[in-house]
Amino acid sequence: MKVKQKFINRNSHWVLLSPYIILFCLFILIPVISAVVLSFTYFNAVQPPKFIGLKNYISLLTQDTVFMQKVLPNTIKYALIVGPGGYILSFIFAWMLAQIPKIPRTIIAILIYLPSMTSGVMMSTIWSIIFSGNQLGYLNSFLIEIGMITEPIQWLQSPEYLMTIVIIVALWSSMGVGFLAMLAGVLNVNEELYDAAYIDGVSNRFQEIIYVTIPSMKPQMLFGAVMAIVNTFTTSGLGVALSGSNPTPQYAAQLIVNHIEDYGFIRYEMGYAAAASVVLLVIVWIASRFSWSLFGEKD
Amino acid sequence: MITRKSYIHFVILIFILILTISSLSFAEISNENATAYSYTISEDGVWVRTQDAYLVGNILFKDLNLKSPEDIFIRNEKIYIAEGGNGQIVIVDINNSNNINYVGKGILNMPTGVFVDEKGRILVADYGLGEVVMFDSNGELLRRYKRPESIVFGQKANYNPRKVVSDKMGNIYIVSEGTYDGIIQLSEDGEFLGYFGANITYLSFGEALLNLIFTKEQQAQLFNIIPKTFYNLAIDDEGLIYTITQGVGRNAIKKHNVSGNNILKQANRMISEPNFVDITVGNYNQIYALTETGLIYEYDSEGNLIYSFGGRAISTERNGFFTVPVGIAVDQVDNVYILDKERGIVHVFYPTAITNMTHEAISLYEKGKYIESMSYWQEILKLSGRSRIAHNGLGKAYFQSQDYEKAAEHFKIANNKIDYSEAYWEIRNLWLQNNIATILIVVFLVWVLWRIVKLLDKKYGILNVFRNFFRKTKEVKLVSDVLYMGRFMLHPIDSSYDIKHGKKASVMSATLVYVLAFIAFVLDYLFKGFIFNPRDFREVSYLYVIMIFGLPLALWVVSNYLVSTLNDGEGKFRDVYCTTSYALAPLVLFMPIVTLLSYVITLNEGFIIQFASVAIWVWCGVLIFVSLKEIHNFSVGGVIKNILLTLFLMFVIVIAYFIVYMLGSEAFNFIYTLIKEASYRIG
Repeated sequence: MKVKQKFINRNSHWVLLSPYIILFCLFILIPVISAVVLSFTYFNAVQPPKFIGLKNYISLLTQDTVFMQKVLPNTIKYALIVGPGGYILSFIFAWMLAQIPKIPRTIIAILIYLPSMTSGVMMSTIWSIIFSGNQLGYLNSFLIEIGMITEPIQWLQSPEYLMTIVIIVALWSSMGVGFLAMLAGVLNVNEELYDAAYIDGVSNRFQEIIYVTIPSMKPQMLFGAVMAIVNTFTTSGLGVALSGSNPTPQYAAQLIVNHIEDYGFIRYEMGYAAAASVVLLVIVWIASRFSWSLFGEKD
Repeated sequence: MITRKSYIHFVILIFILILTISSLSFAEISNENATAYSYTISEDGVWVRTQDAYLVGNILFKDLNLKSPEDIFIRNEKIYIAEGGNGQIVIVDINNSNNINYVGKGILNMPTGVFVDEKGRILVADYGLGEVVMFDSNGELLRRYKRPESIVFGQKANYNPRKVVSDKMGNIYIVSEGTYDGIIQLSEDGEFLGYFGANITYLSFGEALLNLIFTKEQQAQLFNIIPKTFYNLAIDDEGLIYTITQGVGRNAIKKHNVSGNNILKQANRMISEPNFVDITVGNYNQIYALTETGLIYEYDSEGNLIYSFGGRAISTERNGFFTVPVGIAVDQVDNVYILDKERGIVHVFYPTAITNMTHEAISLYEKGKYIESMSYWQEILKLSGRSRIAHNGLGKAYFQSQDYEKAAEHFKIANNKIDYSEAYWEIRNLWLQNNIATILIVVFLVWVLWRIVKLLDKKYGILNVFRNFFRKTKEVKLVSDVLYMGRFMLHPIDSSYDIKHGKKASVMSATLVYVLAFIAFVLDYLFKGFIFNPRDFREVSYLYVIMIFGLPLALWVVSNYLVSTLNDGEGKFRDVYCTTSYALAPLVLFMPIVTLLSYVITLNEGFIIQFASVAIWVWCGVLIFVSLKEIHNFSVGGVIKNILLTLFLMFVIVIAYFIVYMLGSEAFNFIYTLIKEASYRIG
């Protein structure tokens, strides 16, 4: 009896933990592990996977010229601009919104948040009208009207413009969950802190932000940063949605996720796609470690 | 900028070249035949003399007494000349110059353009009649193409044909004087098909802005922008139309596709003249264009300049110099014929061996036979070592045969960054493939070693020696002050406060930081990797580099101090001096990394370099802004006002300096001449 009681006492926490553990295993651990395992195999979704060791990684890093020449530079460029850019924009909008009364604030917050909610659909409808390739597209029509160009430009099909457009659209839709968290963070800052800071010599809004707002909303800042990083690396269907083809024209806006989709769901080279996604996982992990060291609690 | 040294090199090079030529087999072409030197574009983008590309041969038609001939055309070993003065077409056999025929006598008035199609029919644009006339090969009148009556052509549109060509389908292309809409295109039956490939006008940004604001009437009053008209045209075997436009800086030569767009690859980088009068296409699709002053430019089919030769007869009439050149034509063996209107003669130029080789190499290259073209390019480089086009061609041939090292070498000589970057990418990729295992192992070993050292350090403190050393060095005030950069960069507000209250930094340390920043700047400005380096450090004067770095900074510090003292700024001169230097910390710490990176990065990843450079400068700017705010205790608006005022004062100082300088030199001159005059009078 005593043994049983002891056993229950020692291990009952597992019962309490089980919902989380089961869900975590089911939705995160098992997929990640199976992706890692698959990345060491040749798997075409028809025949059973065949173990080929590190071959996928070796060919990804040394033979896949598209990956090294287009995809990786594109991804770095996209991440460097959209990640910090979207993050800073989210903070600025959140801070500005926090300054206005409640009702307009709620309405505007919803409006700003909207693009990231409806992502794919709205993006391709609205933006493909603006950047449409014929003279009826808004941008082309405007430029022709003022005489800057004489014939319409194929914005979404020409490699030299596509990446820029994708970045603009991505920035526009980057006010996601991170933005909401930051808005909540700014609103939650104790008003008395500001008064105290003014007594201590803070003299303007800028110092207010640096000395009070940001330090007291560090958790939200961290959350926003991690969300921004994960979002930039994973929500990259934009180029494909806008240009209407995968691969994008001359791989101009090909990001790692597009590359993975290309290999996984078009060419059915699952093993290779899994290897690419493991590389993506590593990149995201490194990036979030970096943001953790910037904003995380240091204790 | 040609320095004396490079000039001497150049002379030696020419000397060696001459020696090589005389020892080679085709020395029988004597050098004196060329009345004008041939030039090409050298590897560093300047004109250089090269081997004679074409030599002057016969002068034709001396005794024909041509009266102001206007155009020359060659097909099937026959020369056709539109003789404007006598209203006829003169046809002469190339091989037998006694076999002369005349066409169109009594019909033509003042023919200005002549063209012969594949069936041998002769098309004549007659400016005097204002129509295009077609004869068959025997000289019988076939058709007259009068002004098109179609409504589309318009009632008021000009129709003054000057030049004409036709394509294989029989469509006729007419360059008409005063027709701004492009080339008039007629069908064989004389039906107006439309305008072809008009020149377009460009709006500057300001004009576009005004266009947005102004009403239609105002626009009509203000702008009267009319596109340039085409001056002359030619057609090649594939039916592509080439045109020239006078008086333009860019796109003077255009190669039109079917829809009229310019398809020359080098379109915007083409070396051209604003006064071309005639154009023709050679057997390898090379383009020849003739200027009013008698220069002949030869381009390859992409628009790269190959040679330039010829010239104007200034005081004496010599073979190979022209008085009023109006027409150019090429026969089947690449002899170039130049028609001189004033003297009524035709000069013939024969290509030399090197030109034939160049043509052969280019045509092989364009057909995709890179390996075959290689030996030609090598031969050409032996003869004319500074030819950019040869280095480029050889580089591309090596690239195609996957010899990337050699390709990179030649692209580098030709200063061709885009292709060099491609070749370098391949080299780097190969290196990575071969060494990736080693790199990974080394990284892993270093990591393990680091771990072990750290572990040992924790137990036995083996790193204490270094630690003590660093602590000792840090205790030196100057070193710690300079290292303060790191903190300043991340916490500009607190650090500026410390500097302002004299806790950190000194004039000495700030000066040191300025020196470091200058070094970083010079490295970035002059010594980046080849792909990202737009400058050649041999050509930049060191004084200039010091000026562009030091002058703005010195002006900034001084004027900011002056402006701020008047604007209730709290900062002392020392504060402005120190914080400005510390604000350059990102430049000192990160720019060298960017400079190093530029050696291993290709254009593919080039945005990293640009992004990093911009980020560093923006960071410096933010630091300056924040530190100004702190040391002067301004509000944000106050800082912006302060910065604008400072910039204005800098501007005023520069202007004042120039005024003083000019007045001073005037005064000096005045006194100097006065003394001279006085000494002359007295003496």
